[in-house]
Amino acid sequence: MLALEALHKRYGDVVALDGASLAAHRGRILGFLGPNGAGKTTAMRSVFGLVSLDDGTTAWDGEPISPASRLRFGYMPEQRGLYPKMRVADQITWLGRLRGMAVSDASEAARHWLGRLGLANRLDDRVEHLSHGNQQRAQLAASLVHDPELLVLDEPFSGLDPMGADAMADILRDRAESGAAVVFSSHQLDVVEDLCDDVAVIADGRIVLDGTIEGVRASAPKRRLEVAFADPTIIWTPPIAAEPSRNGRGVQAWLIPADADPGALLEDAGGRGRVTQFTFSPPALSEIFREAVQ
Amino acid sequence: MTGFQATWLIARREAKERARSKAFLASTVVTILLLGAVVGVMALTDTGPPQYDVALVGDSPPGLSGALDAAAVASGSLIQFSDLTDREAIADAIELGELDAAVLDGDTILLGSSPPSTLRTILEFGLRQSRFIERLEAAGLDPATVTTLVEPDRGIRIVTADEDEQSNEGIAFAAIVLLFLVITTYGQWVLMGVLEEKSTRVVELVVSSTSVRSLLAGKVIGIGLLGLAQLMLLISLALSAGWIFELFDLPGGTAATVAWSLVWFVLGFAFYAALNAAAGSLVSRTEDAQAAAMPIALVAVASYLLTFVVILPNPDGLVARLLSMLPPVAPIAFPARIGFSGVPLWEILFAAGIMLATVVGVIRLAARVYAGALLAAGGRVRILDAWRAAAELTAGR
Repeated sequence: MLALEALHKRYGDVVALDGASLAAHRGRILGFLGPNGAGKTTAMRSVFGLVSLDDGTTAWDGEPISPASRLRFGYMPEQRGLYPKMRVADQITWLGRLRGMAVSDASEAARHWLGRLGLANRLDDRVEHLSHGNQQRAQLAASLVHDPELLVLDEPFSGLDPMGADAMADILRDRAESGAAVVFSSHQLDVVEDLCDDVAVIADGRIVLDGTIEGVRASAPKRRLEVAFADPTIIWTPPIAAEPSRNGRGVQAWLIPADADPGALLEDAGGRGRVTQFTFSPPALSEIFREAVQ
Repeated sequence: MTGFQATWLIARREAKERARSKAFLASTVVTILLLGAVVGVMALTDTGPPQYDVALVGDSPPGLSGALDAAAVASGSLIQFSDLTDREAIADAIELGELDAAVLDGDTILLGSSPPSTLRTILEFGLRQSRFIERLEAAGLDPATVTTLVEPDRGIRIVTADEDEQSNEGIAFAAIVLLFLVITTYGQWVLMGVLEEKSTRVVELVVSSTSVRSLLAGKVIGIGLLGLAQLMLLISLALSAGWIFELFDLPGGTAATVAWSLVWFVLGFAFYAALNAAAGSLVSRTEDAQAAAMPIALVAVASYLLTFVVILPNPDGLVARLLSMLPPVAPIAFPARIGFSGVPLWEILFAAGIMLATVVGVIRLAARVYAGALLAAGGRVRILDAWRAAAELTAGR
């Protein structure tokens, strides 16, 4: 288990981390969310010793993270980087060896991952000759080559086409199933909702929300109410505190307090006309996220 | 994976990737071609021993031509006897430079307007010798006995006091220039390498798996080994070309001069490379790199000039001895001092000791600045800020 405890980091007048604590478990995928500048990248870099923390601890399996434990971690930094003039397979092999693999194992693993990511015929190309998307795949291979116990990916889905995003999601699921702890940050909340087991939301350097996706949604203080009428001209407003929410065609949607009584609301709506659709459900992750970071 | 293993992996990557780069291959090939051109020019202009055309006219002593030949061989030249017999034609030919000299009637030597002194010596010596033989025979000695008397029974070996030293000076001179070029060129590679790692952010990946000190040491060692290999290739090509074409004789002191040059190359390279790595880590754009490297280049050039202007003219003076102990100066000054004059061993070892300690200190300092600055993204970093950041980082671990 990865445990970040009470991380503090200040850059001059800017507070990047203000007591953030976070846990990521083996066999599970944690989505790490937060607006730009909330401290996601700083928190992730702290795992790899790339930040000198003002305070707080980072631990893996109960032990403080050391250079030796980092050899078993895989990292995809926010700003991607590989040696531009080095050949792709050589580079991934080299990074595997740097994390302690034997040369034959590293070479085999590099070929395996590059093949799985669709770069089998680009093994001897220099990195600088790859397209942006393919460089991103090579970068992912660099974080996977040594079969890490912990995988930390900063915005892995940014810049990927839909097929690339699917491949990325498959690999992350696959890594978690084989027992690794996976943490990634993203602004694509639908991806996070689909893929992740757990979620943590950071704002202004503090974790404002965390738990399983289901738990977070269930414990949200709001519920999403969607109503559609047979006569689409009918305008109905719930008789309680409600804020309008994004809605689909012909559907009216609100966020309402979680303790509202759906039966009473349906009755009230039915008084205006025939109701064809009535949904009372936990809000989407995106709504919870907006609520949490405000 | 220990720090040493990681350092070695990083060093191997540096050397291998750079050796495969077009820039390195091109620079090696161009240098070899230049070297070949120099050797070629030397071989073409080297036309063998000087040859003199000499005419013998009138009544010459019988042994004259033989004596002239022997004298010429002894002085490392050749005499070609002309067929001319007409005195006027001979005088004309000498004036025109077609003939170098003539001996008239065994007692007059005719020379051009600016005769080579060797030729004059040969002619005088040959003439005296032949007359001497003539007189010995006239005194009743048997010609065979005369021949054995005048022929030396064994060769004469001539040892000049300063020949060895001069040739060593040439090698030392070449060594200083080469060392300066190599140390500054490969230092630049280190700087650009650090900058590349920073600007591509690959450093985050590397440093997350190893330490900053391993990365720095590996880079310096890898580039240094490649530089050493290139240097040795060039030196051995130059030496073997010189040997094959007999362009120069290797003096006795060469091996020591070359060996010490290599030792000082290693020390000097480590010193300047570590400084360059620190400079490279303080900037993140190529445009800023030149400004950051400027102080280092200035120190290198100043050391080079000090060596030529102050130390070499009086290599055993107190000022020269003290100056050459300074770490930035030592790697350039010591090979020169060793080549140009004897340097006591204790002095070499003492300076090497100071140098080694300085190199260790500079590498530690550079690693610290490198650590602090590498992890601070953005523009130029002040050394002091980098130092503080590194201090925090070290404390944090």
